[in-house]
Amino acid sequence: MIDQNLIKLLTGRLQASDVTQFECHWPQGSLRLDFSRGHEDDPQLSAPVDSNKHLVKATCMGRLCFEHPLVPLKPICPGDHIEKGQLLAFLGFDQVFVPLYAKHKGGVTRLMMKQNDLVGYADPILEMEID
Amino acid sequence: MLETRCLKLKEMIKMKFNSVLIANRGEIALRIMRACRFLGLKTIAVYSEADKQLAHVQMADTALCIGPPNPGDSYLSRDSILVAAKLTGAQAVHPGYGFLSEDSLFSQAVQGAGLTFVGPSADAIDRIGDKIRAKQVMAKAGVPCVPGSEDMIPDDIGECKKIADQVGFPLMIKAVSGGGGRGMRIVRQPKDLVNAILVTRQEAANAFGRSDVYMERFLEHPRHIEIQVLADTFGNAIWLGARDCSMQRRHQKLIEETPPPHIPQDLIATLGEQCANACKKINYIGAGTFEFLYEDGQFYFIEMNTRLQVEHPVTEMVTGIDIVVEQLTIAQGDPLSVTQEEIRPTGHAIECRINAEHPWKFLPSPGRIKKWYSPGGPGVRVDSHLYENYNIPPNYDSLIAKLITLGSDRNDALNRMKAALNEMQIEGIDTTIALQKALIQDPDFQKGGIDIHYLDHWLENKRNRP
Repeated sequence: MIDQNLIKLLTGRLQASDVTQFECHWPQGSLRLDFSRGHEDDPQLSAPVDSNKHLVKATCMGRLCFEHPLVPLKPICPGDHIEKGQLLAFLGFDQVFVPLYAKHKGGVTRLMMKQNDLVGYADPILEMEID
Repeated sequence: MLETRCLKLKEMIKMKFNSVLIANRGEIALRIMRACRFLGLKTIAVYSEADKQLAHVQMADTALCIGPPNPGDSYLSRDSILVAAKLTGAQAVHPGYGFLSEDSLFSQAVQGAGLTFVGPSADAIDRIGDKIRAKQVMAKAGVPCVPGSEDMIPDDIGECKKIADQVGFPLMIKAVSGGGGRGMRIVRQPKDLVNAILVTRQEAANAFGRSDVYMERFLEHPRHIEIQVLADTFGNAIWLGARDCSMQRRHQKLIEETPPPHIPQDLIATLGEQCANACKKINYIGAGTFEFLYEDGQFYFIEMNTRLQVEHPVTEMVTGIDIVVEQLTIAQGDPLSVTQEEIRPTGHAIECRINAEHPWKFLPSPGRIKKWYSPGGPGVRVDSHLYENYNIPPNYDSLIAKLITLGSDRNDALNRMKAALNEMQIEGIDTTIALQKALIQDPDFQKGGIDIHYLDHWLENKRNRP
């Protein structure tokens, strides 16, 4: 058995970092910790416009990229239908590309940013109508 | 005179950088933005989600939201500000006051990223930020200090008692990393010494993560006097007069003025020279403030702030020097625009801080500004980010405006302040205007020379009155 105090200590330390997942294997077993980072569940980042409409907001700062050198990605357009969990775009800074996923299934009604736009935290990227 | 100097400044600046990221919010962000615009520098505003409405955010050449309202995730996040600087192509960072302005790691990180930090080097911030090191540095540079232990006091209680006897009672036990009135304890009698050391050590460890404490003589009725300095990279250092900031509530300044009433000018001049010389000796660069306690005709150094002060406008009003413009000039690598001989303070200036707080209970009062009327006329200056319908967020400092008046003498400045406070209208939230009106008309304040405990006693008496 892994000591409960050790888990508590690890959780405390990792909570203060940007780590979202921690996995460790001992001869006696494995430990996996999943951290839900506040931004993802932040209501501000997925606030509905009205009952059906929904704004997809940036989870961090960056340059908006609807393309990625290594990941095939079809640029999103108004009228597109997107699935929950679908990769929508990246927010790029230097060589780092942070993925932006759809939290809901539905149709894209409006793009509010374009390729390479400077995006701030919680800036709306697109508007969609939830199915 | 000011116009001529400003033109001269514009001509001489070589432009090491032409864009400035303002790593702050509220009135000071707007103040810095105005100085940048005057110099023709592009401005980049960074803001938290709670601050989208800020005036300077709307006015900036580029604005970028850097995080949620919690300061730790936005204005205090070194990484977020550096990422914002890179993304926006900023070439310099002005930290303002508070937040990261005295964070040596931030200064180092900014410079490490190839940007200009509008402020002193990380090394200077570290040397001056540590209160014991600062006292040692200042004593060596000839600046008078409060008598006390020369270093942090040892663990050996016997040794501590010996040091206490040398310092004399009453004395203060102070945390090396303390500030803002926290981490300090008065010891009036030898029998209370040991307990005070142990408790302050524990408090310091909990509050600042460092239990080191030192000992200093306690002054019963000191005034808070400070000297504004500017120093450039060419070895020039000047002082711009003294400010009296004794009107404080729990170590938070409420009214500041220059020159300090009833202190002989030659005493201040000697102190000012000592401060300017200390800057040269420690190779200090940028704007800074030496803070002193003043009692019975003696000044005692307490600390140096390696940044712009909230109360800098009173100095600007009497000297005609734009301190923020000078900061930017120094950061550009250019010499100061004035020499010590050219500084001729004229008149008397007073600043009242207007906070979004209940005037007597001091409870914060965030909310929407329904009406904002700013006073004006000759000798009146208002530094504020307020406008009608602006919503004051609950997440930050409650300072919403600084009202500054200039008069030919103190009486003139006080009369102007009284009129300006009556003229100022802020509706929709509670403010400290009523408190400021009462203080400005208080007979003891009008006489001048109150000590730093005056306001706390004044408020206590007011509460106890039927």
